[in-house]
Amino acid sequence: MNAALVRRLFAPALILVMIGVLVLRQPGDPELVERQLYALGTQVTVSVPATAADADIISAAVGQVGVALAAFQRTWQPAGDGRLGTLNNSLAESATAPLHDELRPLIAQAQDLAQRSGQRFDPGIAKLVQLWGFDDAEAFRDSPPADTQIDALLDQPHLLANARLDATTLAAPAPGLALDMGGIAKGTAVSRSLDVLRSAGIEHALVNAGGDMQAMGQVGRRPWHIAIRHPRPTETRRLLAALDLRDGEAVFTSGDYERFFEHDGQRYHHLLDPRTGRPAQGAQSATALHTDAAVADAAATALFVAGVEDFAKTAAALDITHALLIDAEGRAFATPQMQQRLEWLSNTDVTVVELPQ
Amino acid sequence: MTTNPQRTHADLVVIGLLLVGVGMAFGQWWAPQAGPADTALVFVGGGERARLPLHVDATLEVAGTIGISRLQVADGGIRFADSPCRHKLCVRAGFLRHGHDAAACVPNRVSVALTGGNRSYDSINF
Repeated sequence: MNAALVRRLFAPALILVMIGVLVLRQPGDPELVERQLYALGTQVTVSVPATAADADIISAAVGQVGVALAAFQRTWQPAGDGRLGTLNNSLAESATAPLHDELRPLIAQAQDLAQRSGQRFDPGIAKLVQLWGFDDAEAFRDSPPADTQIDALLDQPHLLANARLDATTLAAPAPGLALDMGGIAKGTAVSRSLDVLRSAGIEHALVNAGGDMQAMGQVGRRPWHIAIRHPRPTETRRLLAALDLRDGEAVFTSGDYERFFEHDGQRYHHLLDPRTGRPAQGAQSATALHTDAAVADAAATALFVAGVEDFAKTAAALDITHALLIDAEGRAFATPQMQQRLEWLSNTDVTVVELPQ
Repeated sequence: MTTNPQRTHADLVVIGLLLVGVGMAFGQWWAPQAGPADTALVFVGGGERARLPLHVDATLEVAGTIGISRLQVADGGIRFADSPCRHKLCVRAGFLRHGHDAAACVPNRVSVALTGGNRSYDSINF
């Protein structure tokens, strides 16, 4: 082989070698095995890397998740004769009601978050949620309820933050308090689902319940790679940002696009401000990342209600270092730690908001 | 005008910078969005009921909890053409065409999720 030929072949050969190296150095992403189930009034997707367990084991474990979530839902339904329904029935008659051991930890956590968030999240609004009809996808209204109806409920006890909890009872200031744990229970349910999978020997999984999720382990040698959907998607702009979820991290988003109706050109959504009894104004979505999924769940709601003005204060009060808010104009506000983790996928005006010390 | 075919170090630096620039521009402007999907999975109550290729126009009637949801596949997308729910949020979601797109008629427990396309993410938060 003469020198001229070597020189001519050198560049193509080098490119081929580089392509080969790039292909071979891929860590070999395992396929994800996905299983669906319907629970908590939404679609739940369990994703497990194919290398983490046999498909049969995954299917059986997801079946157990379904059983656990059905039991969880019965316990936490605000109406009926489940544990929470029974508590609400008692509180309708009396200011003080016996508190079942099974309910106490989550209600205590919800009260703590309600107090720290300045009642921007508070599960005491069951009757307001019912008045707006957002407790039932088929029942919510075509027009907002009358101000007199809302104000009448605001005159009754409607804040868990103002109740008193002890080892065995919950005491409201007066009869009439009713709890709807919809803003926090999904977080706990997602965590429980991962517990069930772990008990079945699965160490790597991601549970997504209606768009909110928690990760366990990783996918092969990389973290879980997820994206946040744009709150106002268009044909060419579906996703807002990408994010790597590490072992144990949960990401929850509350948005005004989930459950809503429109009346006289105005959108009325399900995220009620507990202090006013009306849909919170000023945001399209709020996202919180935390290793406690219940905290992420409640914080997403609290941050949505807080809006831009109280975003930093509320995030700091809830010890949320990773938070994102999209305001009514589509502008993004992110904590420094969240901004560091996000890879923006759409052209977004981002303001980094430092949290108060 | 004369040209010098001899490549110099300066040329290589310029080419290198251009390549870096193109790479950065790609990352900035063509960051992966979900591409067109090829299949729609239809679920009822969490169980898979059907798989529909998106390149074949079709209509599917699905019996859910409260009635029949009518799904229409057309132009590479799928939509809820009708559903027995009251507020028709599923119908208002319009056509779904991209990987990771999904819509549900919650009252009827019928949902649609798209697969294929540029599946760059393990899951979507919303």
